[in-house]
Amino acid sequence: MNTTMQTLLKKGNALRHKVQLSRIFIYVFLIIMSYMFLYPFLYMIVTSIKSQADLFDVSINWIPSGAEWQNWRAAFVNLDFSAHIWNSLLIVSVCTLGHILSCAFIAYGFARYQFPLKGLWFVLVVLTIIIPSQVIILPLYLTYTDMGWLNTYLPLMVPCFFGFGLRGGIMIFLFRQFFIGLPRDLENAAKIDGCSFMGAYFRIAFPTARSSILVCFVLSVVWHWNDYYEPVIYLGKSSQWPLPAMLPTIYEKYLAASAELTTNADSIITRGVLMAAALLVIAVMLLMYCVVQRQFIQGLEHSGLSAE
Amino acid sequence: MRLRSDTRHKLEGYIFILPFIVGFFLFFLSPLIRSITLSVSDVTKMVGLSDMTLVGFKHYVYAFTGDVEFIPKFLQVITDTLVNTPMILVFSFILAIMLSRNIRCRGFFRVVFFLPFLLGSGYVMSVLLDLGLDQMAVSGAKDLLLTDEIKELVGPGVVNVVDEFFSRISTVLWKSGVQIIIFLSGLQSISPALYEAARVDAATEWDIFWKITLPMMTPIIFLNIVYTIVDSFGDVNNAMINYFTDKCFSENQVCYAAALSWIYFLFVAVLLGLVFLFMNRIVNRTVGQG
Repeated sequence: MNTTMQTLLKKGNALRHKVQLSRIFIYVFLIIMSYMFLYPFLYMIVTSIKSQADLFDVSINWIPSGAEWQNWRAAFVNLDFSAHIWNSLLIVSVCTLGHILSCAFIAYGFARYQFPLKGLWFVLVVLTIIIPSQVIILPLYLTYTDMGWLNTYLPLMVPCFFGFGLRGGIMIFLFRQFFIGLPRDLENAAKIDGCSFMGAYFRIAFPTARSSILVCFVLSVVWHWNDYYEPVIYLGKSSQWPLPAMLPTIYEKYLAASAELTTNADSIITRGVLMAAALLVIAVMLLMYCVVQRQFIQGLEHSGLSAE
Repeated sequence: MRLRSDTRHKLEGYIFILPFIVGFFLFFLSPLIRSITLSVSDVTKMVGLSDMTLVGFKHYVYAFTGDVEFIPKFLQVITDTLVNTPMILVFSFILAIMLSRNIRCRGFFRVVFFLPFLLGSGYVMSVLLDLGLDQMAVSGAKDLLLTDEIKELVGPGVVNVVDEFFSRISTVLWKSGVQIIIFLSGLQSISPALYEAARVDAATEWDIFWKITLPMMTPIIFLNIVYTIVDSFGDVNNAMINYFTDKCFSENQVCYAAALSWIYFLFVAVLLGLVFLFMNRIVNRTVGQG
């Protein structure tokens, strides 16, 4: 009796030992991975406060000798931050609003109704995801020229209200998954009580899709905020450009400065200024992500992409 | 007039997808057709592109026979995608499995792994890559692993493979944010009862992975493969897209640029078609077994 107990205990200890070991391995692996994922952000932050002397000093890696806030001021001026941040905010908020309204609306039709050619239309939605927008960028440019939309924000904004714009198809797909998983009972009850089909959507289905709306919001903000490809093509005047479109000029100045290896001028773009500018460009987006990250990740996890 | 409820139902459905139909004709189909016409024509007047003459597949043939830059760039993008996609899938799958365990600070890790997604394919990311940040992030680990003695021991073949691995790993990880979350959501939807039943039957973790987790995840893996491929080919920083944008907007060779973009798209479509066929077969087989 006693001996069997002991052997059992020993076995249990060995097992616990093994589990503990695999746990330690998982933590070490995850921490190394976190370092890799955080690296670009840590690098940008540290470099943005390095003085020129620190930048050239190879012994200084992570801890600068002091904070050089001058970099941030230079970045602010070079980006023309106070003017372009409004362009960015305007474009991104209108586009995101358009995506949320249109993609949820379209997706509801696909999820709830049976109609002729439904399969075909959905294949076309998938096609809009697969075809890179760059393939049709020139004809689109010509179309907008004919419409007289060039040098306005319309080419960026209007497609978003029709389920197009940047990866609108993916948003439609996400919302469709959500509505398919949503029980019909509430809407049916409302319809019995005399609610119209539009009322059932706007008063019940759409507000219930809160988690998907948040996911769509974050994805749309991130994709539109980072986009500098389309704005630069459609907007001739650089005063209309969003923030990220200002970064290439600064980067060119930086490259020119580092090629000449001049160290005397004050107005020079150092790597510190460049990194401060990069951080300023993504600052609003980072802030937004920090505020909604928990609900966002949960929403994306529960977006109905189940393994069944 | 009252409509029959069946007709009404169909009509309501069409009202919901109406924005998409309108958008499809305005912002997709007409540019698409115009782009096809451009790719088989020559334009003499740049303004308004009015004087078009049909020239057939001249531009397509030229891309493969006359253009010295096209094929290397195209091959570069194809290799990058074909090498990076499996790496992204394997790493995001491993990370998702670890995160689906009952570990501390799960929330923190999930948020951190999604952070690089914010940089996406934006200009900030392309500046960082241009500065060589992806190499700097791994230089420590690489020096640790590939000391001169080890290099001599394993021979140049292995060293090259390891080198290649390290040169890609940072970008691969930074691109796997969405995939990690999608895998995680799939893993959580597998019923715990399945795992319990397997453990009762004394299955090892290894067996459980190959016989339950992997087969159950095939639809999610498929979704992630498609997303990764589409994401990588649509990346505005990739060499091909830069190439035909330059041809179109800087060098004014609009027809040739249109042909290039069609070659590019057709390749993506064929690749996705192959993935689809292959995965369909696997999904059918696993369903058949279950």
